[in-house]
Parts: sequence; C-alpha cells; structure tokens
Amino acid sequence: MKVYRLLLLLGLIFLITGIYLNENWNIFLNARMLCFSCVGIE
Amino acid sequence: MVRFRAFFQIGALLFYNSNYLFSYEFCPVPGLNCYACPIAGGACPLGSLQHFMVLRRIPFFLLGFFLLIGALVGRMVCGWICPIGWLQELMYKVKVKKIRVNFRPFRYLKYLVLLSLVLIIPFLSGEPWFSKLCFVGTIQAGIPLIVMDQSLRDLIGTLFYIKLGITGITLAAFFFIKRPFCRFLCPLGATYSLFNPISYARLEVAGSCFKCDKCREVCPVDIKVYEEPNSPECIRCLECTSCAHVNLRLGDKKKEKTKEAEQYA
Repeated sequence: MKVYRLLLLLGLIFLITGIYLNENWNIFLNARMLCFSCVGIE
Repeated sequence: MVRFRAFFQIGALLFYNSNYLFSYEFCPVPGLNCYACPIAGGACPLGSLQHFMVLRRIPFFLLGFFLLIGALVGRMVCGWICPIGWLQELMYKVKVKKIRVNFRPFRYLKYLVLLSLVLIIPFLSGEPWFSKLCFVGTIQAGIPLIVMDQSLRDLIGTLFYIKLGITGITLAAFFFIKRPFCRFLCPLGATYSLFNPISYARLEVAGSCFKCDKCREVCPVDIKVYEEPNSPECIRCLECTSCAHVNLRLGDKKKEKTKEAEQYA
C-alpha cells in the first residue's frame, strides 16, 4: 500500500473523529473568541 | 494552468475573507489567513491548532485536515492558495537589489517555530504565542481594527508595538528575499512540508536534465529542482515545469511531457 493512501485513510479517520466529537462547533467557534491575541491587545 | 496561478491566489484570498457573503468559521482554511480579521470567513489553521494546545486536547479534525491535504498535494497549498505567499511574490517583483539567502540551517527555523510557538509554549503557558507575534494578524486584524475602533486604541500596549516591529521587518524582507516567510518561518508550511516526499502529487526530473539552473531562476523558493525535486522546501507552484525536463507526477502516472523531454535529449 502506498504511503499517501495510508495517510489519506488516517486523515479521513481523524476528520470523522473530529466531526463526531463536535470539534467544529464547540472549539473552532470558541477559538475565534481568543482572537485579541492576533490583534495584539493584552 | 501555471500561468493562472495568481487567479487561484486571488480567489483564495477572496474565499478566505468572505464573511460579508457567507461564514464557515467552524472549519479551518488550508492557507494562512487571520480569523481575527472582521471579514475572515474561515478559521486560521494555526490559531485553531494553538487553541487545542491551550485546551490540552488532541486536534483530531485538524490532524485529519493536514493529513488529507498533505497526502494529496504536499505543500501545494503554499504555492497556489495562500494569500501570504501571494503577497510575498508580489512584493518581490518590486525592482530593488535582491539578496539570495542559501544558508541551509535557516530552513529548520520554521520547524522550531512550529514546535515551540505553536505547540509546546501554548501547551505549557496556556497562551497562543504564535498568534501573539504573528505579522498576518497585525496586517489583517490589528491595524484595521485599531484604526476603526477607538475603544481598542486605548488598549494598545507593548505587545502591539512588538507586533508592529515584527511586521515591519518581515514586510521589508519580502522586497529583497524570495518568499522568506515561507522558507524560514511559516509553521503551516513546515507542517505541509513533511508530506512533500510522499504525497500523491510529486515532481519528477528527467534523467536528460543538463542542470542549466533555469528551474532555480523561476522557483519562488530558490531551490535546485534537479537536485531535490521533492524537497520539503518545494511549494509545488509548478513554475519549474516550464522546463521540459521537470514534470508533475500524480501517483504512479507520469504526464506525457516526460516522453517529450526524452525526445529533446
């Protein structure tokens, strides 16, 4: 089996696990709340 | 296709900053784009990764995202759909004296930045330190927000001035050095670069190549393609495929041009 195929499979498993754990809605949206770090304000 | 690369880069910039049309901030974008920017549509992959480190959680979705992109195209994202890559290419076109930086250890700085500022320090300190110093945040969010919002102006402290200094130095370097941020500092590029030698899309140099260095002249990251076609530094912009001896190889299939190159030889 080619390495890239193995990585694609692994990537798909991780992606689905992330969606299953609701990472997108619970964490990515919260991450934006921390964006004052990017602006440079403490 | 390569001649339309700028359109892909402009398209990516518009798509990443499409909050006025639609928002998908629950999903990271593949290139570097600050999500503190009021018009950012998607999440910054590095900001999100740091957020997971701060929370001390395994970023499954991001790992999958990086693995899928990396396994398919390696670092092609940097060459085709990264707005910061495009900015560097544009600024390098300004006619000033150019500096060629070939000091090999500089290449490893980006892995150090990835390990320290993106992974280990946020994990230990609970603060997203790469974001705190990132010049993209200053350009896309810091300066515009502070210009627009008086209440934010009152909150400016030392950190903002440090960010301004980093931004100034980085932007100045773009005029003189070929893609300095991608080559030496970008932790996102460092992540994708690990996949370059094993990805589905790879570069191949025909045995008949006579090392004229034309590929290096057109290469935005200044690599000798004939020495290491799948170097971790290669951003797969495919500019070097203008030479008949360099070809894109997808999986096990070769493009027809290889045969052409062999005919030339």
